[in-house]
Amino acid sequence: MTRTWIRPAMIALPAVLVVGCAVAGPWVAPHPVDEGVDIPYAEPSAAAPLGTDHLGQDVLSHLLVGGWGLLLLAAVIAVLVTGLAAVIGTVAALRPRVGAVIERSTDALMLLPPVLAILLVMLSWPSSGAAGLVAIAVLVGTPYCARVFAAAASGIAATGYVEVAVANGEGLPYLLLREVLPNLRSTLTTQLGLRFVEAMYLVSTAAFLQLPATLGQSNWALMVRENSAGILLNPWSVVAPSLAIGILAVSMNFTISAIRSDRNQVRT
Amino acid sequence: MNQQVVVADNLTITAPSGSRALLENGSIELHRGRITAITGESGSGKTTLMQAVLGYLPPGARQKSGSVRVLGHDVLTMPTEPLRRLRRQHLAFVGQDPGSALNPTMRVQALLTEVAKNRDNSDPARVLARVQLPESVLHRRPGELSGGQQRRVALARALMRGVDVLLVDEPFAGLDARVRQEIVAVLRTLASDNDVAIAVSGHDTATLELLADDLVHIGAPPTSGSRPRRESTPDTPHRPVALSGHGLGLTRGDVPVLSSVDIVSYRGAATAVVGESGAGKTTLARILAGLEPDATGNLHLDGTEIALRGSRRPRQLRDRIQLVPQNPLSTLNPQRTVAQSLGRPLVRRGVRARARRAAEIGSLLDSVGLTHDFASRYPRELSGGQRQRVAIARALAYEPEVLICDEVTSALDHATATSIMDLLHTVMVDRDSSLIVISHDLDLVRRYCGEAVVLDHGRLIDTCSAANILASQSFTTS
Repeated sequence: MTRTWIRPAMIALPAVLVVGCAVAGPWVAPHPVDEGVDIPYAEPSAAAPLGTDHLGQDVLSHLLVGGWGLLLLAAVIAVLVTGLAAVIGTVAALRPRVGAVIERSTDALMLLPPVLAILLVMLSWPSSGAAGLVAIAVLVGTPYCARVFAAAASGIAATGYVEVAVANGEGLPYLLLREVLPNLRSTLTTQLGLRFVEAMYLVSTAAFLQLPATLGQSNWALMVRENSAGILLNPWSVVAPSLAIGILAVSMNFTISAIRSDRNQVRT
Repeated sequence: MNQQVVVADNLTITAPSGSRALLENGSIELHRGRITAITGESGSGKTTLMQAVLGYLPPGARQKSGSVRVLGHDVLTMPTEPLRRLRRQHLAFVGQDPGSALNPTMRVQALLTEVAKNRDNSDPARVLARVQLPESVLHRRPGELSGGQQRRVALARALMRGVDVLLVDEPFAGLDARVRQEIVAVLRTLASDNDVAIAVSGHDTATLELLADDLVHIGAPPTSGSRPRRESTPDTPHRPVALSGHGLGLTRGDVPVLSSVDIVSYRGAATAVVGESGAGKTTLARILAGLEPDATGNLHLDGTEIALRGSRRPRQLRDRIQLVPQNPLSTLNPQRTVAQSLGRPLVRRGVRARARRAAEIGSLLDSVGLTHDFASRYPRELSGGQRQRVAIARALAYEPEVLICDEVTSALDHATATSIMDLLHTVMVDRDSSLIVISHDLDLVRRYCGEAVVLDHGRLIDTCSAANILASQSFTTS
């Protein structure tokens, strides 16, 4: 028994570290983000372990403070998209006629490029802020995800137990939550991981483009953009935030697949 | 040439949850050119023994004692790569539910050529002919075939490979007598002509005795007593009509699956629906249960017309017609315990007090011959027969007036099938309810049913007394 959780725990370690740093970061940051510690793009020193950025502020402090905003937004978007898509996809599988309508309308939504949609809304309606960003991300992300759930749920919808429940007039919420979704656990976890990465990408893009979404004074995407001019003077000012985004996205998916595969291992 | 290829010696395999044995002291020897039948009650470990011969144990299960040797290899301790090679070259397994083993996206042609050693010399059509399937099946996908046809395709896949050991789990479950004889003939030729060692598991002892050279019994010794009693055939016309359907039909795409079928079921009597695999029996059951929204015709329950579409039926009405589905593997939700599956209908009937519900679940389990400790089990911890019993208990929990049983006994051994039919019969008589039995087992139909509806290729061939069912020419000769 003790052996089974060690491997997933090892795989999850990078994700846990990055998330931990991002959440605890604002409290442990050595300097306030608006305090200048050295000349711009200074190399790593005792006062600034990762050097300084374009304003002479500490890169490490920025890194520690600038994570949680991205992370929180991405997590909210991932959960909303996956949850909504699971419901829509399952309904589409259980009610073929409703499903056809849903499919056609999602086809239309899928044609909308997410970055374009975000630019459009954020620039024409700047006061929408983070809520607007979440709304757009959910709107453009859900159709893809719902299609996957519809395909996965259609197999479950044809099983004997669902048929018996349907024949006995069980309501849609019961069919959804008790009969179908518990059997789609692996699809759910996979989609959650994928959607998290997708949301990271969208939120980072919005932050990089300096769209008026409230992501705090500092964030990883913004660091990459603003410090890119000094990449040769202090590479860490760009590499560190880029790495943080990359490690988080990749290790999050490793974590999820490790948890899942651990549950149904089959000797082949 | 009586060469031993498989020897299992006192093999005991335990379940992950602890001490419960999936298989106890299973011993078997398979010889080239001979057919060995494995019999035993459902849940005695027939499937587990066959899987052990393949070198596979269910997730978490452990080999407690004994050994299995296949062609001189100890398969349960073999490294993965050689084991895979051994399976590929020498072993074939046709499972209890071949439908789920066939890739639903591939056509039969591709399913067969995929496993062929040599693409030109084994012609898929010829192999199909050996399992008595027409060539037109080649261009269909598994989802378009009936249960019996899927089983024959799965068998054909094993024939394509030219293996040394063929393990067939329950080849006769859910097949009618004629197809059974054909499968028997196919297996016999395979054993004698190709010198293959064949193991066949099953409940149908009469067919198995006819087929097998050796018989192996697993689990408790067979109970020879309690000969199934012959029910007096009820004279149906004097009984009140419970459910009647007229001109029932269904067209899927452009293909008529069922056209103008009439069926009448009486209170306190059982009506049989018989026909070859693919005749539309399950479709008829689904129409009666309200699961086919596109069905046509009309349906009366106790003289009042009811909607064909289930969603248009009021809830009390739905409770009165209950369906027990065919496939034991998907009849229960894998994520819910037996108690949860049985508890739901009770809650819907208004049994909310926990203690009373537990008591009712206990008595439901009793009524289908299961002990109370089954309540906490998940479907994966049950055998096919046990799952089917739970499915029947779930239907009985609604206290239905019309119970539609779609091949419920085909996965059960003879003694259990008889006891289940006795149970259904008792419930039917006690509650003055009606029973619709879909079955291939004409013997069983004749014993328990009053009237029989004979279907062939989606059309009604005959409605006759079940006792005279063999006289129905079209069914036996077509």
